[in-house]
Amino acid sequence: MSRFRGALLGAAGVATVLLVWHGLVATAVLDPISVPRPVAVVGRAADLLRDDAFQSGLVDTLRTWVTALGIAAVVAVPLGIAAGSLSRLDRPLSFVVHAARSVPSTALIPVAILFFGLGVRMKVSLVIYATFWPLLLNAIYGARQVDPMMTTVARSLRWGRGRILWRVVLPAAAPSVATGIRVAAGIGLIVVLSAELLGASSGAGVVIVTFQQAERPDFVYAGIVLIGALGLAISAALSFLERWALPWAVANRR
Amino acid sequence: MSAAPVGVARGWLSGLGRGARETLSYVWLLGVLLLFWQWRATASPSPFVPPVSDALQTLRSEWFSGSASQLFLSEIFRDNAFASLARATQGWLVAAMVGVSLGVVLGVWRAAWEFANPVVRFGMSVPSTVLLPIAVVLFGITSSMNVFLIAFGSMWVVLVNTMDGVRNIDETAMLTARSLRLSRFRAFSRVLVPAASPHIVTGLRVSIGIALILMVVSELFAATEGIGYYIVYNQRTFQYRKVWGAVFLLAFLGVALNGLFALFETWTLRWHRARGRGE
Amino acid sequence: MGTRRQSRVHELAVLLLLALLASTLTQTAPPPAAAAEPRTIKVTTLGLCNEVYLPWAQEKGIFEKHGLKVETVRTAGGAAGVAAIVSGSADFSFTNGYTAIISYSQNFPVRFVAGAYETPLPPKPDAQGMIVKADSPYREAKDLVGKRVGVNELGGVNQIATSAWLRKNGIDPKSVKFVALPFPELVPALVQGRLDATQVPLQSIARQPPGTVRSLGDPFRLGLGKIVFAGYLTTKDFLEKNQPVVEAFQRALAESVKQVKDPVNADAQFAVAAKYCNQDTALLARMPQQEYEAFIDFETLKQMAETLVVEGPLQAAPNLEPFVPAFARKR
Repeated sequence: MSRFRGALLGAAGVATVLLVWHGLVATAVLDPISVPRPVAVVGRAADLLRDDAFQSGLVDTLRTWVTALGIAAVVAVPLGIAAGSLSRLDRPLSFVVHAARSVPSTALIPVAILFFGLGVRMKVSLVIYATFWPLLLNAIYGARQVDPMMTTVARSLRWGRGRILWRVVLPAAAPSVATGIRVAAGIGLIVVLSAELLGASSGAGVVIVTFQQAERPDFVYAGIVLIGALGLAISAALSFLERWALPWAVANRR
Repeated sequence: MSAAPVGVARGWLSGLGRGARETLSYVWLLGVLLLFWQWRATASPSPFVPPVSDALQTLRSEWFSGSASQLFLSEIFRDNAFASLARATQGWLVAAMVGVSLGVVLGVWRAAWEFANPVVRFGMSVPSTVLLPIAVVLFGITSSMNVFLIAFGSMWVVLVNTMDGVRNIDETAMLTARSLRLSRFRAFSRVLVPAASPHIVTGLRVSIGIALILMVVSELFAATEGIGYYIVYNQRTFQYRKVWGAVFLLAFLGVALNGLFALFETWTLRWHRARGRGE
Repeated sequence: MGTRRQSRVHELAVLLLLALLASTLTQTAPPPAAAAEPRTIKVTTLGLCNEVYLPWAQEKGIFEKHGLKVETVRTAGGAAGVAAIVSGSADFSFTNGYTAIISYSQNFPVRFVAGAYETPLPPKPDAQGMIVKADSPYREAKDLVGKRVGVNELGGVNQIATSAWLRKNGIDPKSVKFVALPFPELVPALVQGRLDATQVPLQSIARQPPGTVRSLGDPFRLGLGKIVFAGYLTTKDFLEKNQPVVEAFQRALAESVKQVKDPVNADAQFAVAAKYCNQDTALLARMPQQEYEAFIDFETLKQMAETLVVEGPLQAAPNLEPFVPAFARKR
């Protein structure tokens, strides 16, 4: 019953936003030429879903996003956890992270093209670059959150470093890592889109750019809405996974 | 007697040595990576990626060539970096305030969270470039527009982390608050927010990085100065040394801002841990 | 003791991971494809309606006739295009004339090997405009002093044209406030009153209800005269190793351009262009056309380099002799 209520409330939230949007365009607070009405956008969204070019672009975008996120997670999470529990590596790594994180991927697009060409590899490299740091940071933070009493107990039981990492640090760090994955997923989607809007050769963002150039804002917004809906679906899936994989973290919540 | 000044000097030297060692412990990894870059760049030169030495030289000559009275900051720095940083700070402050307050509300009130959840998730997936038309309509072509874009983009991380922090609070903390018959406001400020503060602070910290990035990205349009504008202009005129100089500047700023924030974080966490032990 | 060794092992493992990561990031780009018959070449495109000669040549088999197979690669142009050819992931880059000169003068190893289009001259209709609201008091260039003028990119060709036009009218471009917005935002911002004027191609105002906006003139025509608006870059290396292929590409473009400009093909040409750039055929037919030209006017290019020095992006005009090979020059 509560899940139904949740879905209903969520729908109400979306409906409110749509109504406000419609109102703003109808009263010309938002210029109707550059911001189309929600009804028009929904119609175009349906058209886009049926369009082959957009479909293949979407698949491309998703594939890039998943690949990049996967690679980044596989490297960043173990690295972060290991670094977080080794004070010797924690500091220099955090330092590098803070330095590198402030540089936007847009500034590096030409460099990425130089190394990886114009295709998927370039986009993947940019998304890895952008998602690596939040994953790493959250993993480091999670590892540092371990209750020192538990490590003391584990050590008194003469547990090896690996066992401690596996049995103590990892579970304690897991909620932070999960948050990191969720944040990185959001950032990753945005970066893929930005890379496509600014210079890639394939993907949903590229389709959107052609409509932007042809000055069809209704299609542009339709594309954005579809991508946003995608982001929604993904974060819902991630939350579900989190609840399934880390029930003890959820148990602490009200 | 005569031993005292020697002792002081020795103490000071060892303090200096400790300071140097501490700095080194932070910096060595970056140094290794930069040396690696320098080696690769001099071995196979590319017009897009100059050697580290060139980039650092450009960094100094473009940004830090001012006189001592101006803190060595060049005119380019004062014209561009100040403008960008001002926008970033304003945007970040807005994001922090809105993100934390909304995050607390959504974390505590389940119905509100369910109402806003799809919209929040949607908002997180939208790149700021796409929001430009709306931002221009609302704010015109002014700095406020950039501030809006920065705030909008940085807000989500703070919101999500705050929400997580609030929702992750131990049952016992809230039960304690209730058993002490604290008013709702008191429960919030004295128990809830402090207990959630590690998450909140993490969110704020990550959002600094995001704000810096958006600061640069938002200057692709409707800006006549700024670090982002400098980078984009030099990218277009193929002056990649200047681009990399600015990249290093951004890295430097990122480290500096994060360092400042880390100090703040240590202060709040120490207080948090102290409270925890007290309870 | 055991823990110390373990921590050492862990540190080594971490450093090893870092080294692996660093090495993956410095992978070099794949080498260009080996020669085959017909030769496949990768050409960047922005998907603009103005590039009609490209899909035309593909559809009418002109590239095949010259022994070529063209694969188009989408980019956002400019730096991305140059990066693409320098990295070997494209062979030819569709580039704006000024951008081409600038990249060459910054010592990028590029050559300008074919034209695409120039600005149309009278009696052909204007293609670009300085747009203001119909009811505004602005009539000439000097009315724009101190006003906000929107362009697509700061430092881009539209701003250069506008600055040159202002100078020709005796006005210092610095007295005008240039604002950059993406193309689709410029006219809406003008209509909302956020801008006082904007420099856009005339086709951008086709959507506006008649009588809301008007043009003060074509800054390109009035300020710059004829320019090589766009063309194709390739790397010095590619040209040296594949000169026959490059010449074949240029000849194929020239043939396609000739057919596109033939009035007999007008309707067919609009249909091809509309499909290529996601536009409406009828709308496209009403819009002013660029002056398609596959040969590069070398004298004009030299003047463009001078303009760049005056407007700021360049310190000194480079020697363009090696930049444009003889076969690409207009006779």
